[in-house]
Amino acid sequence: MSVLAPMMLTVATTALAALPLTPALRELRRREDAAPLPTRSDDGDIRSFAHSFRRYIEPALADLDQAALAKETRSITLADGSPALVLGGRGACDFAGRTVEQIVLCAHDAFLPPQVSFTRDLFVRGRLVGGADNVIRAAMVDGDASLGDRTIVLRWLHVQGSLTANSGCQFFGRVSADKLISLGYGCRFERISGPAIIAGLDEVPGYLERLQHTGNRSTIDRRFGRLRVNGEVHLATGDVVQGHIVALGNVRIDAGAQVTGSVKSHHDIHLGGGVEVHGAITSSGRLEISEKCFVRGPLLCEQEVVIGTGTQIGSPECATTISAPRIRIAPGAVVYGTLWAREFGEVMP
Amino acid sequence: MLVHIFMAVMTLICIYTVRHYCFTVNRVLGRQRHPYVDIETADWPTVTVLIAAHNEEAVITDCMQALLEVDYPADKLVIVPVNDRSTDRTREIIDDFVRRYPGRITPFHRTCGKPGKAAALKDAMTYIKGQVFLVFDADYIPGKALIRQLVSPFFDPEVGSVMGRVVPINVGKRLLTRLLDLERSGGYQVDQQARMNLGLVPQYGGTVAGVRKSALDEIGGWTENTLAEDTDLTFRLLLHGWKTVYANRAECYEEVPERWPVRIRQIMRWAKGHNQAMVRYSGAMLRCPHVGFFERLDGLLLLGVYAMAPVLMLGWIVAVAVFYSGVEIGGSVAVLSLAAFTTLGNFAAFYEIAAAARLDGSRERIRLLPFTLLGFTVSLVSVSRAAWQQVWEYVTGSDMVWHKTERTRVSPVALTGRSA
Repeated sequence: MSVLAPMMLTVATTALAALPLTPALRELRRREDAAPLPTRSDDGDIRSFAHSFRRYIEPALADLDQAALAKETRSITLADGSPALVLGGRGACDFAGRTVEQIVLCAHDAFLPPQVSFTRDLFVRGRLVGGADNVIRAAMVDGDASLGDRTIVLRWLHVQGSLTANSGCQFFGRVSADKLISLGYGCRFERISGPAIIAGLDEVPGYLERLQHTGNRSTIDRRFGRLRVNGEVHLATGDVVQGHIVALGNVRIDAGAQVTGSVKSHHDIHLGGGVEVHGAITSSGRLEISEKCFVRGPLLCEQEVVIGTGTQIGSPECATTISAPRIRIAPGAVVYGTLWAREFGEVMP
Repeated sequence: MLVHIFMAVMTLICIYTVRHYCFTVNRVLGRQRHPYVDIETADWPTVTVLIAAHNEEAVITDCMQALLEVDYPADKLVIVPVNDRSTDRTREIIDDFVRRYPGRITPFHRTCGKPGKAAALKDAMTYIKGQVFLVFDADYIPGKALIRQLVSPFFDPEVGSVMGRVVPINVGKRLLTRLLDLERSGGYQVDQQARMNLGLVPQYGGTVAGVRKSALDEIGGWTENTLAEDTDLTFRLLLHGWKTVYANRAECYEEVPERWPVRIRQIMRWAKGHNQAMVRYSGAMLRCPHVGFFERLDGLLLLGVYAMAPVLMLGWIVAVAVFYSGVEIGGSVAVLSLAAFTTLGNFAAFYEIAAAARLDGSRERIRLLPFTLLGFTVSLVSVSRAAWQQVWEYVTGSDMVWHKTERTRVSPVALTGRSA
């Protein structure tokens, strides 16, 4: 009895001490979670969903060809068992007022009546002409696409031609086009990419008019370095800075001034009319760009970017990116490249 | 006197504990900053990728092959394997790549000169032009989007260097690799990202990292006489008004040590290099006008992080001495002691590891957390030993020796088909 008690105590203490190690020993032995953490393997291309969808429907394209020849509508089943509707005929789709719950493959142009909702993905081999108030989960269009007023795209849209979105459209997720993207008044977006994105216009203006710079110019030459300021920076009309500007305070650049490098502020940045920045702009606060400015890009902002009418961001030869939680663009502005609004972006009504 | 030493040690430990708590809470609940991650289209600058290689025949093939497949304009990407006095097949492998991919690779074979990565990089960079330099160790395997992710922050004219996230690839080999996997997760996913979120001092890590050429020129290039050129660079940039940023989504696989002696040598080298930086830059950090209060505080704490191991051991010894001396301890000291010792000193990193496992979605590996005590103990002893060696080397005037981390990979890894 006298030996048993300390032995029992020792065993109980050891068991208590080992208890927290039990799950650890189990995992060490079974190795249930011993693979390397997955790292990012994609190349970040905005079109990756569209490419995946094309691979997914590839086996069904033979059915689409046959339906086109026969000019008929067929129901098929895709490789994973999903039902799909194959439209081989030309003309308007007979979906008026309906909710379409199948994947839809169109052999030619697709003309959608108003108020159609697609709960599955849509593929259009020709041109897509949408009606008002359509709801599209995701779509891939081989030709051009024109979306009616207040159309909603829920996940992604890729257009191999040009995309025209009429007023009040809402794009959740990714939207891309291989040619021009035209966004109507009041359109909302998250991530949009194309060679040129224009707001509230039908085509890129031939030349974005610049304000005439007048008066004496003071030049600050910082070609090989940075102008680093602990407080605020204010460039007056006509000033030219050859180099980068880094400011811990606000940056205000008045109308017609130029910066040949990049601009960074730990607070807000305001560009007056006709300002040119031939580098990137980075702001930890709010970035406000007035009318008819030019910024080579990228624009990185941690709060909100507001872009005035007639302003050009990037260029046809040098596509760029605007990234911010909120992006607001005035009609008449042009962006070459990508708009990425993490919370919401909109074309001002 | 003993009580005062004890109190000072406890205060330091509590400061580090609070620091780890703040980082963990920020990472789990705070606003996350990834300001450069969304740059998709841009006029990308010319980038030179330096692969530091000293006897890397086992691993350099994977690294170079992966770099040739990255998504970055080929005409703006210069790949420079820096073969530093290798005596194995490293040179042969590099030259074979040069033959197979004409115009893509510019090798730099170094046959003499001062040993060490910093010295090799310094030599290589005198021959190479470019605006941005990225540095990889030869055992790293970059993903397709990694170069763009690492280059994006350089559009910000205040950024002097950038650091990506390191992910162990040989996790499942042994207990040590599993512990290092947890440690790396805590260090990058929580510690580095929290410092990025809070505008503090993320650390340039020397690999999966980039530096702006003009910033490097401004601070006088690489320092050769250091065992941790990465920490050295972080603080010299900071003192000259350049920022280091951390890109958590710029992830890259690395091979971690699989044997305890290799790990011990590695952490002792890091500790010595870090302590060198502490001695060199602490005073300047206190005086520098470019650095804000919280950056200054975090920078000083970062500089002292490896010095905490001997301080903690000193605290334990003093605690025993105080106990047996019969000195009366005041209430505040008792509270501090309790706070310090219930978290096992600066083992408060425990919370960071737990938070990192959650953020990474690792459901099962978190169970190994109790074993991190083992890794902590080994590190504590090794780092303390390194500190004492360093003091001895200073007193005797002997040179510090640079130990290369041994590789254990025997064949190229499969870059596809990895599972979570």
